[in-house]
Amino acid sequence: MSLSVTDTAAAGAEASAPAPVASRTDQTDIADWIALLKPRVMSLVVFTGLIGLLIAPGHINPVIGLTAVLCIAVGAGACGAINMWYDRDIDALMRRTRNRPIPAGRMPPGAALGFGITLAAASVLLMFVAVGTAAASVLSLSILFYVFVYTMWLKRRTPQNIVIGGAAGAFPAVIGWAAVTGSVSMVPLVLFAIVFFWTPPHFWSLSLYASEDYARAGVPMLPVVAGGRETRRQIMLYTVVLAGVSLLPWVMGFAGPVYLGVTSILDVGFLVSAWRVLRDRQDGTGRSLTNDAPARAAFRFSLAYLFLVFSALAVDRLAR
Amino acid sequence: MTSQSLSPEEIARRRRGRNWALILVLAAFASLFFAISIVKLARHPDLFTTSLDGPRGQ
Repeated sequence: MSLSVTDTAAAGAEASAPAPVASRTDQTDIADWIALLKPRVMSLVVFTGLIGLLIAPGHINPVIGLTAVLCIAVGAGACGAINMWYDRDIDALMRRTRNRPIPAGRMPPGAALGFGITLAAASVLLMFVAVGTAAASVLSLSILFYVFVYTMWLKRRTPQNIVIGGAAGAFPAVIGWAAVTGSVSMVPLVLFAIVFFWTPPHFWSLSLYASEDYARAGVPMLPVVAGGRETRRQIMLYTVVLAGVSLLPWVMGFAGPVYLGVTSILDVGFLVSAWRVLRDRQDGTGRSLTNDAPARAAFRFSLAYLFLVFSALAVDRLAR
Repeated sequence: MTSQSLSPEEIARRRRGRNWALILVLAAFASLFFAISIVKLARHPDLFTTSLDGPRGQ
């Protein structure tokens, strides 16, 4: 805990020239508006929301189901736009994010904020009108949680930012379920828990090899604050918990042998990945001597893991 | 002030692109609302019957 967030932010600010600020949207390309929505994050959110919708008991009209998924996508995009508006100062300091529309000077910050708020309001309203109160309530909760709890409160204050903030990314499966059933029960909460415990090893793997970027921007990601060695230990710990939680759908009798088989194999794979991250060759300060190759592999595996676990659940349920 | 200076043709091209995108989004939105309305009406066929269509011959 030797690194102060304020100190690193100040150091980063001194080291970088001020980012250009666009004052009008004349030069903004469509690609910039799409980039504001963080399409890659959106695709994962849409996928988990769709699975929640598919495995829920009951029937939903395809048009209403499609509308629910669209609202989840638009809500996630709105979160991305508002996040880019709020984080424009630190985005300009990080190599990974400095070419985003606002820090690159291609879009006025106010336009991104207006875009985000409009989309957020539209997604919740449409969900309420077309799908139902329960789904709209969870959607609005997830948007408010992502914007106010994660982006504005936790992200710059605590290394537990992505642990607690990870809840925001875990909501879509619950929204999908609520769209069909009109309520929330134990099963969607287990799906929520799977995404929740998947988030730390996923993000910390990324932050291990992007820690210099985060340090420059003053974001207190775990490797910046507690070092690589502790981060690797935490990745291992959360992966063990995830392996247990991921089997709950089978333990509860909601999923069958297909899910159990696929998830068990994936759990072993993820545990091996986490173990390799833990045993990565490091110097005395915990810095990787292998260019964080195991962490990069674990990050890639984590993406496949979530996709395949949720796919297995859908296949298992639909095949019954 | 922006970070790049674009030619008037390029600015016009980008504006055209944004306008087309907006048209497509609005059309998709209108179609979606139409489809949702049909689904909702199909679920509640009594909505087709207004008070003006009440019992006839009275």
